[in-house]
Amino acid sequence: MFASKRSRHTIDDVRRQILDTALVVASLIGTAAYLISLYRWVNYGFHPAYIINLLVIGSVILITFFRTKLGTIFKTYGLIALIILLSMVDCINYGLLSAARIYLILIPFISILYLPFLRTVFIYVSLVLCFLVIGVLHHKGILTIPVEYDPARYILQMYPWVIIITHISVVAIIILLVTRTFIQNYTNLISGLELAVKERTEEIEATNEELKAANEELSGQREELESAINSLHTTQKQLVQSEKMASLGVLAAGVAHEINNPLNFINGGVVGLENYISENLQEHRSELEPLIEGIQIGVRRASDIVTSLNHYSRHDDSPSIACDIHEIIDNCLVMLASQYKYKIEVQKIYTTKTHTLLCNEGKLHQAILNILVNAEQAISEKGTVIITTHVMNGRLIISVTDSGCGIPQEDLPKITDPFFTTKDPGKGTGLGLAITYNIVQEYKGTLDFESQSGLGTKVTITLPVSNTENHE
Amino acid sequence: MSENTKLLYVDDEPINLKLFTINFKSKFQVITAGSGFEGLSRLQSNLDTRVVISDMKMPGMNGIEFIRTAKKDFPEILFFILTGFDISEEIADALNEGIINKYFRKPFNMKEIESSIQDALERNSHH
Repeated sequence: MFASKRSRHTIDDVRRQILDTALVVASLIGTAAYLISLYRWVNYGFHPAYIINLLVIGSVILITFFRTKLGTIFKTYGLIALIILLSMVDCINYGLLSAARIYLILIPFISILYLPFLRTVFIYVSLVLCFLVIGVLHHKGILTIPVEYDPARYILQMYPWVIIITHISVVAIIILLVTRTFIQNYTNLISGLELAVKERTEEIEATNEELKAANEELSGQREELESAINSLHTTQKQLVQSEKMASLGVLAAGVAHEINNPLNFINGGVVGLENYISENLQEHRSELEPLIEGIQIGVRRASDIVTSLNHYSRHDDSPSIACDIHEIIDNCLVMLASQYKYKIEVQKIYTTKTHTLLCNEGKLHQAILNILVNAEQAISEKGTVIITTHVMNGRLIISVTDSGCGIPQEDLPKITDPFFTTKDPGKGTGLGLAITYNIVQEYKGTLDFESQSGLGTKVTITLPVSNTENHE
Repeated sequence: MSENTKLLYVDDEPINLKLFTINFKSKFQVITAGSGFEGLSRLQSNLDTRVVISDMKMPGMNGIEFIRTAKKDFPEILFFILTGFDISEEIADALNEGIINKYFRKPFNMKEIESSIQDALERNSHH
């Protein structure tokens, strides 16, 4: 109960202990019984049984003395054999007057502890048969009780009572001690087991906790991996998109050159015609002037578009240069002229403060263009787009306010997410504002939205600028 | 500046050469070449050329390559680029190094070209 080590006796330890206890008790009380039985010798004279009994007791004492060195089975058989010998010899000599017959009770009791059940039964049944044979022998008169043991006289004496209670006591004390040892050890075993079970349970619980923690860590890692995969997916799509844009840029630059050459022909031709008219056809001048002017305006407009495409496509990784934000906005408006025409009234309120904005022109074009496209698409019939710029506290603030349908409050946090779109499939990629956001971030700027459903949206970009005094 | 100022215009598009000649004949004495190589030989046979305007994208030798070669033999000539492309790094470098005076965009603006050349010629004669 106290020391778990002690209680961790095996059942064999318990049996061994019981056997040893039985041996000690048997040898102690057996010796006492033998000494008492010597009284008979005094009263009735010598009998060979005393010699046999002495041998038995002597053997028990010897076995007890060497109990730690002898094997359990040997001790068991030895003890059983001695008990049988003692009780049978007593029965042969004294018949029913034998006091040692009580020891027969110990035979099954001890043998069941160390021998198999069937062997125990076999030993006991043999014993019963022996007992009955001895009974028959006495009955037939073949065996006789010594004459001095007249049963009628013998049972009236006091000392047989003492002898009998002594033998009964030996048996009783052995049973008592054995049972007590058994119960004690059993309790120890059980509490030891309980303790072991408790310790094991705690160990298992601790292991379980560790496993739980490991599991949580794993699921955390899994979440991280998932989000990494998601962001990889997003990045991949963005890369594909920007690759597309880049190819578009290359294409635009090529197309621009190819268009510029024929525009140059037209332009050159018109200049030549103009000169020729003023020199040789002065009288037709008033009629030809509007036609020439039409051609010139056409050439200029086409050339403006090409120029803005050139700017737009300049989104390679070339380093930041000083950009004119107003030129960029105007370029974007030229590119969107077909969409804005007859539909959008554009109001421009540009700052006059000098500032230097260092950016990649192409990227800035892209950022502004996406916002202007959204402004136009938010307006279904006719509307206005107000573009203002001003410089404050070292920042350039560009705002684009449209009178369109606005953005629902719940969508506002998501509009810069890549692939978030409310447009019909095929009408928008959901990348416009994501690209704008990334570009603005790249230049350490901010992108803000204010919107009211049905009233319109105000997009504000702020970008850091440096004011320059030494403007030429 | 006068009609006597000899100007070489190099472009691989014959129409451009023709139109340029017509439009600038009253201002300059225009000679033309259809490639950088031709331009170099034209300069050798017209040693009094003072201004060169070249297209950028031409087969064989681009405008800047042609000008860099020509500049070695004729350092006193004023060189210009007239291109349908946007400004490129090559052009920007040439501008910074003073190899070319300026670059013009197509479609050309007559007044811009005229006044730029005038300014450059005047600045050159002062030195």
